[in-house]
Amino acid sequence: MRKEIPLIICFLTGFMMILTFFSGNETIKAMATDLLNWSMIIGGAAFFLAVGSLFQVNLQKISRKSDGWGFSVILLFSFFITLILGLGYGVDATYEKEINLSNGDLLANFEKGVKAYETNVAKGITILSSILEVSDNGEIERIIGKIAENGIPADKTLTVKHFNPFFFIYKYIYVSMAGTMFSLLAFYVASAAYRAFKAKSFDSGLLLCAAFLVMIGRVSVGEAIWPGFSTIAEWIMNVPQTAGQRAIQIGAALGLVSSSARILFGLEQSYLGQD
Amino acid sequence: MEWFMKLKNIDRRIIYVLIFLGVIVPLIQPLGFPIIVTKETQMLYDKIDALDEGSYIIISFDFDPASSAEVSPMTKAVIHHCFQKNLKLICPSLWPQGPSLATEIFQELGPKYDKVYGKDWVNLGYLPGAQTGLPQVETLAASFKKAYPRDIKDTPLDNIPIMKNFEKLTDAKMVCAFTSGDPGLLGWIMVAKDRYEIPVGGGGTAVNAPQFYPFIQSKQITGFLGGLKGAAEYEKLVGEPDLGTSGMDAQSVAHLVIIGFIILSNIFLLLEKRDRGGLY
Repeated sequence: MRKEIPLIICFLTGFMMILTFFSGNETIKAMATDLLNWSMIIGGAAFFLAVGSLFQVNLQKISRKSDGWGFSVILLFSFFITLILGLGYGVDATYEKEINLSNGDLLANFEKGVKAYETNVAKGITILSSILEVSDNGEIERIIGKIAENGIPADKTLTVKHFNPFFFIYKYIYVSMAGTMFSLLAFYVASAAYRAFKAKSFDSGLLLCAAFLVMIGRVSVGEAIWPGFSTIAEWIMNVPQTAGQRAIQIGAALGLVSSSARILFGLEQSYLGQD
Repeated sequence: MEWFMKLKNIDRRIIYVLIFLGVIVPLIQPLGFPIIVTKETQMLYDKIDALDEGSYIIISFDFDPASSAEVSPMTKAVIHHCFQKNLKLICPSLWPQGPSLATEIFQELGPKYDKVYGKDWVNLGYLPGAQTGLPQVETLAASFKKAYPRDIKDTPLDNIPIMKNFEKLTDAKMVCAFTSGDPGLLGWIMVAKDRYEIPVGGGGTAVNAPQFYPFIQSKQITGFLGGLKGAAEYEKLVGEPDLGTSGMDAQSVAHLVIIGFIILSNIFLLLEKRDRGGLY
């Protein structure tokens, strides 16, 4: 039964999903929606599995002092720091904190409040002046002096936006590093093209011509040199390229249908851990 | 022939330096090459432009930071257009990093157009699921609130004003998915367009673009922005030149450098063959 039960579950769920595509029956639709929700929950749960696996692999590396174990330490350290900051500060670019303007050092609080609007200092002074009920003459020192003269209105608070450290890590470390890795491709492509992109035969010559026309026609300099480059590149993309893509996609789709049918009918059982 | 051999076996670091200069110089000193709008970009622009004020549009962030240099500018350009048209933006993401990229863009564009979170746009966060994206989109077709009980700020969807009149996929007038792989635009096409007849458009990296051309011809996609060029074209249409436009100059020069090297290597090949007696 260890083999039959998964096969039956697979057949029934697969059949149900196929039926949803062709049936307007509300009960079947509702059942299919539940199944889809389950698949998303399983997808979410897979993250825990991934984290478990990450720990297992890297802790093993550290304990055995394998090659590059130091990178595993950095990885786990970064993981914890990011996790803690993410849970603590959320995913927004900023987080809000209230400061009581009448508590503590008036000048320090006032300046802190103005700094919250550092993209627009004048706007910050105006807002703070209105909160503290003093006339705005545009200079921090004079406003502070006026407040000192008239006394500080009680319980005047200002919500100050702080830069989220989690977002800082995300934007200035993760995004930059990921972008760097991706952009390295430009250097490798240039070097590889110089060494390998040669018209050694008629076929490779044809490929080279097409690549040349698309490369020049798909950037604005091509249009500046001769507008015809753009037209030719568009034609290559729309006619021969699309024809090739369509053939590949239809072929892949037919392959997918036959593979799915084999799985549904139990002919393909490698997902059960069998050959 | 010493110079010939030297040039033929040029140190790859020289190629890297030339590519680096080809990218960095135009970024510092833009060259202002003309940007001509292609049919696929115009189609997307026209479709969004034809939507009524206040219509719901789904903007799906299906990419990650690695490709954001290429995909973020086009997403930003489209959001410019949506805000100019006063559309209401519902933003799910089929990629884990998508919601943060959305936050970054809205943080800049929201205040610019005086748009308010929860009223004019909502960032729903990441929706996990299958690699194809089909189960995720199919669930959204049944109910957004089932798929997303809360938004990215942990607010229940019932408490978000923009979600009051938005229950399911068919409440949207259009879907725009920005993608750098799967799950992404393909999933939206197969469910939103093919099953529910909702117009689907979007964009992706230049590497991904070729696979979507058949869908443009079969009218399963209403316009597509391919790579930085697509972004530059859309920025031109909305009158907001930004990273796409400045990046096009850099990409143009980088392409010229690569083409130059390819031509050079083929000249060497021809010279070698001539010396050996016979071209082929």
